[in-house]
Amino acid sequence: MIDTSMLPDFIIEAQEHLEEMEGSLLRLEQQKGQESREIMDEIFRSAHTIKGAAQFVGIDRIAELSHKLENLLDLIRKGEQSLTPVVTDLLIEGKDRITKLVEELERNQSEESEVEDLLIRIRQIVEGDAPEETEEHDEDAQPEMEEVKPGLLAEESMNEEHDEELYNIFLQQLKENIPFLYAQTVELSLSVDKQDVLYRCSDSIKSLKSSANYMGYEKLAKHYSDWQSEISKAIEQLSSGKMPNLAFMQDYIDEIIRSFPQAMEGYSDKEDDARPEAGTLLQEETVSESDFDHFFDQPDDEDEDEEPAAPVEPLATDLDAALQSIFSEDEEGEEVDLSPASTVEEELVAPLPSPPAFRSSQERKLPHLEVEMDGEEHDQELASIFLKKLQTDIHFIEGQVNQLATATDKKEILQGCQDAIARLASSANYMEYQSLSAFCGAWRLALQEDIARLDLGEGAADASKTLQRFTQEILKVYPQVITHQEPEEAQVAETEKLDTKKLDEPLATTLLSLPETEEKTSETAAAEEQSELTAEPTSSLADEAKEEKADDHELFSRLSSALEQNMSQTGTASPDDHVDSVIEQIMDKSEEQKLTLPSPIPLASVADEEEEVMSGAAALLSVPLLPHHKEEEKKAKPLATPLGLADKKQAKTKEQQAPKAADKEEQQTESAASTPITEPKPKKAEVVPEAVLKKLELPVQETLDKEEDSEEAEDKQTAGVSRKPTARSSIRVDADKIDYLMNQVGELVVSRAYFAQLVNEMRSLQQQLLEDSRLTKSELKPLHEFAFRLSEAGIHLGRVSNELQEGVMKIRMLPIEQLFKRYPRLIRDLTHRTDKDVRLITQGEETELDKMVIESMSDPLIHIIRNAVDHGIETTEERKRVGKPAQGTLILEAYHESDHIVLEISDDGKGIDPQRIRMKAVEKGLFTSDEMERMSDLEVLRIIMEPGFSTAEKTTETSGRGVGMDVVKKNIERLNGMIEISSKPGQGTKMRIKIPLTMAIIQALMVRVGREKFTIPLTTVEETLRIFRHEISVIEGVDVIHIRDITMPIFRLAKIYNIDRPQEGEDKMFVVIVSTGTQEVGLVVDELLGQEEVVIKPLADYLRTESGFGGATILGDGGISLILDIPELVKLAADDQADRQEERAKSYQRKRRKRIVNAEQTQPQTIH
Amino acid sequence: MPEGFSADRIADREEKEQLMQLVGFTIGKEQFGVDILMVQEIIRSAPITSVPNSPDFIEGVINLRGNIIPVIELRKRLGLYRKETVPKDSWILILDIEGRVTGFIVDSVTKVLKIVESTIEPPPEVVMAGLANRYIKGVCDIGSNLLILLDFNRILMTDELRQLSSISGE
Repeated sequence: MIDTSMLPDFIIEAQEHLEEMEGSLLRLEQQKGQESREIMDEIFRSAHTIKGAAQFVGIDRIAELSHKLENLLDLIRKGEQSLTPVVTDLLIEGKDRITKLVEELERNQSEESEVEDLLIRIRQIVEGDAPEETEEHDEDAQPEMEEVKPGLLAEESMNEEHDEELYNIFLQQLKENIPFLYAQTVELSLSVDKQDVLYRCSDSIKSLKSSANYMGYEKLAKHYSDWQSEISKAIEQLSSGKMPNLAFMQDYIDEIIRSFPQAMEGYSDKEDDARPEAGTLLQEETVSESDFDHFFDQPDDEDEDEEPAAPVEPLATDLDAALQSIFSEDEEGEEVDLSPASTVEEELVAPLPSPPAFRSSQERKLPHLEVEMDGEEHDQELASIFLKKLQTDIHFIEGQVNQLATATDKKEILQGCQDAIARLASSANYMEYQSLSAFCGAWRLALQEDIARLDLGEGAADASKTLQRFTQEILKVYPQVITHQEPEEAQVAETEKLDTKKLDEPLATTLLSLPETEEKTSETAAAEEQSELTAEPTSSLADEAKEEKADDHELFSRLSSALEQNMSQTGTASPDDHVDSVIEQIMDKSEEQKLTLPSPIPLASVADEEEEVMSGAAALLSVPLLPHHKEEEKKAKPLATPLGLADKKQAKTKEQQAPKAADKEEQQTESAASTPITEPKPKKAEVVPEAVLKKLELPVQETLDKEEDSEEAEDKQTAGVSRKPTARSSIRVDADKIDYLMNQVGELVVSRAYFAQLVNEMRSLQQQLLEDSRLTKSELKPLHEFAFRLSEAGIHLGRVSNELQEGVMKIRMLPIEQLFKRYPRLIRDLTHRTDKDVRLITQGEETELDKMVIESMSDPLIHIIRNAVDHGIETTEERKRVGKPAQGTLILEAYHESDHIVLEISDDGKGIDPQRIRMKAVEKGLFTSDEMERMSDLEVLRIIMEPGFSTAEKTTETSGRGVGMDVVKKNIERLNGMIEISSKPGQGTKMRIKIPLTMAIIQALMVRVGREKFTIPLTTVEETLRIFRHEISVIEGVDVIHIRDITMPIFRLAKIYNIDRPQEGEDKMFVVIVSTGTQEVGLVVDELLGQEEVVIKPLADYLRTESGFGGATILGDGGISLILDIPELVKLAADDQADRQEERAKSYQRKRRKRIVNAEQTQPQTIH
Repeated sequence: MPEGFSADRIADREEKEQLMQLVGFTIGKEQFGVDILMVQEIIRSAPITSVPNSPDFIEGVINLRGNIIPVIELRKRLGLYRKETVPKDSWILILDIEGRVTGFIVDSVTKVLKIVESTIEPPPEVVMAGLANRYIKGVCDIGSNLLILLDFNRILMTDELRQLSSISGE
């Protein structure tokens, strides 16, 4: 189930990786079939990280989908699957689906969209059967997919197309799920966590049900529904502590097998097919396509009789019997071994399962487990992760056992062990290593017993014995745990998969027998010990500090793994003594080298994730090390010789050099002398401490961030991109905190204004004293001086608050790249199935602006880009015909212009034809042809932003509904921004959007009307005028003025807002010309108060709607001024005027009153 | 569900015992009460900036330590009878109504009253003091007088406000 506490982190992380993945996918596609390893690796990494995190948090669908994507990617990477457009599309679709799921998680904390359809398609491709068919299917499915994203709906529409192919898919699913359910049913009797198993079954049934629905098999679907409800009943019973009768599971399965014998037949067919070719590629593919198949494959290679537990019984033959025997709890012979799981659960007082039984069972399992491992070759990375995990957990447990003797709180330690085992069990489960998982389950129970007895004051020794016994068993089965450590880690860190594979195999063989380790010179041993240094002191320190922290678990396991290594190296030496001496040696050494031990906390994290911190460390170490490091890596890559002394030596060399930041030449000679090896891990271990030394002052939390960042940095580095490492350059902060800070700064700005006002008042007071009270200048001198000082202080305050404001604003600023990088994908989608070719050029990505603004610009830009591609840029043919380059160009550019950001979107398409717009506008009845005649071309262009306007002859998939530009305009107006359109027919169109840097603080013009003060956003102000009454003329009842040959309507603010003014009959008046983007109007005000920077405060929504106010601001004196929402206001005024005209016309008819026009002119109130 | 049932029972018991604290205030002769938990603060009249084109019961907005808060003339909002003389020293009750901080002008604030919740009765069918029934949460006898508990969520219902504003705008 989803761990909601981790969810926010997961969402953020997943989104980042998805973004990265999208970029990589698009690049991949651009390469047009040329497979680029580097890009593949990047995609793979993203998918893998998402998968890992999803599993960790318990998000099943994402985990499964990304896992399958990963499999597909792996095949591509290995060259076993060519990168056809179908595959790329599928990858992109998969990525989209994950994005959708993540969005759903963000909204509702649950996954809603189905993934089955994609899983089926991926499987088809991975299987590689009938590729043409797959392609066809893909083509068919695609449009449907786009229409209805939640797979379920799509399925229904496909009902009619009931054909062979669909049926095959359905059967395929049946074949997969039924055996799985079978296995789960068996596991049910053994598993400790029955609920978990039931949930898994329920999921599986759910997918079966959807496929049944999809095929229109109502009865079957009903059958599944019943089954599901039975399961949920059982789960309920379980959670209330009762033991439900689980026999129904089998009944349901039997029923299905009776109706669909193919489910099992097909299964055994496949098994037969696969077996003769075991180990070949085909086998691998079968396995990857269905892990269950693989799982059931195993027993045939094994000695069946020896198998202790049913999970590995051959299914096709006599699973029924096995099932029966388990359900009836008839524990005979072999089954006793693993069944304690259930027995113990039922009766907690049950005796410990006898150790010999376990041992023997494990021994017998040994070869089996090995095969499991080998069979997983196709997913080596996964296996290596599993091994790594296994190893950490085992070492952790070993460490705990050692502690147990001395520790006071034994229970705590044991519980820690128990957790570790539980972790192990879940990873085994994931890998489908059923026997191991069952083994872990039993182990945990045994330990639980011990803990229970511990409470009674005994059992400590037993507990440690139990632990040791189990650990030994595991080590026997997985000897790699001890020796594989470095290759495994290298493998994970190294993305050069094939290289590592090569490396890994010889390693496994050589190291398993351990001949070379013994031959190690003292020097290499020392180097190795040195590497332990990083883990050793830290872990002991940190461990004491906070024992229960999960980090420490990991950390401690490092320590113990180091110990383990030592043991394997030195063979006979007792580990404790050895470690002691190592520590001593190390201490000496570090003193020699004047290394002070870094503080435990940064080191803790360092030791924790050595490979991840590596690049971060390199970055921190600054210049000299970085290039060197890269160089080495380059050299190292092609080499795949077995791991040997040379590598260790190199590590040591490096370690000595690092603190001195030695000069390059020396390093080169040295590293050339030693045989370089693809083995970054020891290097890291060495590099890290020095780096940390330099950054000792890092606070704890930042260290955590560092880990994150350095991971990213590493990604970039390994990808061979020589970007400047951006380690620790960013921290995540709750947006609310910044908003709060912003508010406070806003207050400061207000009080600064207040200060300025005070100074002004003081000046006038001074003047007054000078004139009225007839004080002399010398008498006023102290006052004068005080006023001066006050103004100085005010200026200082102003300076500081300005900078503070700027600083806080910058916190919210993000490079517009964040926005721009969303659009390559859009272009790709728009041109994907058309005969257009468009190149997107972005400029000025580094321009920064408020995150809020970025977010609200996202949609408008999508509309504009859509328009440009859909209407603007011509098809390749057409372009050639008119002599343009075949590829159209779309330029996205951002730059600063005083307090604003200007975004320009220009294309070299056919441009907008004003005549056509004129025609269309008249056709659609938006304007009369008379009006059209009078409009300038520029005004005409603005018509495209009118709601409902579209030049498109017919509505296409992407555009033509006449909503787009209207939305653009609305959004930009909301930001207090402006949009201008210019176009040259045949040459292209340019949209110029001017938006303020931030939405919180704006430059504004303060005006007074009556006693009210209003604020007009400066972005909308074109100019201010002073006019005389006689300059106003009336056209059709509307007041207008003529400026520079333009007739412009004017509105009186006082009239719009019904404000009483004393001097109505004034001759001169102020007019503020404002622009709504499409229209310029004049607003008559009483006084212009000046320009000010104001902080926008929200107004209650019921005050904002249809009032013409966008917000309010607090003035220097604490008063409030309402901020005018100009477009809204103009609309209001126009409506008002229309109403009045109508009314006037009515009253004119009715009463035939004369002079009404004049009356309205001078005394507007009479009409009202 | 069993837990829901038990929760109800606990709530029942608590209600029986629980005292509710109300801030009492008056408009004209009527006594009103509001749950003390909703009251953010009570201020004496502050400079109110009127908002043109807003419904008439909206007196305007005030600056409350940097936040702009709408102020509603409760008398007009409730449609209570006009007062002959406008009181010079009215109070503004600042209430937090589900996150919407709003000021309400009242004639006077009396005191904090403790009332056993069970004594609160549903509003009577008859209209009280010319007050529309829907704004009343309940009534409570406090000896000499009836105390009317107002439903401020209702009073601040946006649709209604918007409707009113469009009516008054015409």
